[in-house]
Amino acid sequence: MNDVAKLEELIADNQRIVRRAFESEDEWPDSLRAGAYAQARWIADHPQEVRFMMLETLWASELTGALRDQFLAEYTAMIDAGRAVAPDPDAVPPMAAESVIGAIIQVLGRYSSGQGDERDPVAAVPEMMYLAVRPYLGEEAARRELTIPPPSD
Amino acid sequence: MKRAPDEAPVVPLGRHGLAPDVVAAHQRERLFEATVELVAKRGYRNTSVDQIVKSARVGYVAFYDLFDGKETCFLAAFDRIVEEAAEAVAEAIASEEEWPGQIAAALGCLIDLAIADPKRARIALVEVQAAGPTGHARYEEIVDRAVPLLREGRQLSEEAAQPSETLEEAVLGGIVWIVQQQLVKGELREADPLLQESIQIALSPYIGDAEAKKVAAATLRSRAKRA
Repeated sequence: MNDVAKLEELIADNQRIVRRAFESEDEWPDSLRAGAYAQARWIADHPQEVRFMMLETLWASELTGALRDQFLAEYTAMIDAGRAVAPDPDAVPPMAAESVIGAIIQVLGRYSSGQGDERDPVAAVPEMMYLAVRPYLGEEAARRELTIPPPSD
Repeated sequence: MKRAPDEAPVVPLGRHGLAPDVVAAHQRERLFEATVELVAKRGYRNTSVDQIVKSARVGYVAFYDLFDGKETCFLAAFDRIVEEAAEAVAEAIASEEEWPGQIAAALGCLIDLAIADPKRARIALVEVQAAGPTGHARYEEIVDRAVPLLREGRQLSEEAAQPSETLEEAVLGGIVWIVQQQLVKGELREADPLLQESIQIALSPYIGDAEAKKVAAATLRSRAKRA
């Protein structure tokens, strides 16, 4: 299987699992949190594949770049769903969701770096949720995310 | 043969009386320019030593005297771009007394550099991450260098003192990601909208949304006056 086909297969698997978790909750940010934990568990269960996605293909070519954009567009939309429940949607920066995606890639990138400072992606979820919720619901709601324990499953 | 005006002059062949270190510096410069040009245009993976050597008009022996291969040549170019940017940022920061102004000045400086020379920006922010684990680690080093400056913001208020542990890294990742996207899509043209949003992203967790907006607006006003 070539790199592009392998990447497409991984993206499809990842999206199916994360979307199902996201849709299992009605309210944002509960839906986002469920999706985030599903994503983190997928990352923890697929270290080799994540390394391939992050290091081998993220910036490799125009084709993998297009797949990356397609892949991230879905997660950008899940984050930006917070705009609909934000007390003041106009105050949310236009690129809020994109910056959260970048933040998550940066922090979890080290998980797959192979440089010896890998982090546990599941343990990183509250911090990621803090970052994702803050632009939409404000500091107080974001800080609550730091105290919410992971779901039992 | 006539030389195009934007090409670096070539050291004459044969006896020329130039010291070996002068020749090496000259070749290194041409290899730097060729690497930036080719990698920004074709991508790291699609650029070969062969293409770099031909474009720089440097022999293979000279190339391998200076570098082990494509990766070390590319990383030398990356290091130089980063050091030049770091000097410019240090100068911009020195002109501001308060931390929020320093962050705004640093971001303004970096965004201006990226717009002025998108090829170098692409090397520093995008292609380095395509250069395998070593390139990725080198990119992480520049993030680590920027973290302490941002972390100073935690001293500004009690509330700002206890955000998430990876806040600074995440904030930087968010801003860099937006710049990377605009670079890759060729959309990085206007500094002000990007700077305004970047300042808000960087400062809001430390000084709150309202104050961050004020700093962003003041920064844009000040830049407009200078322009």
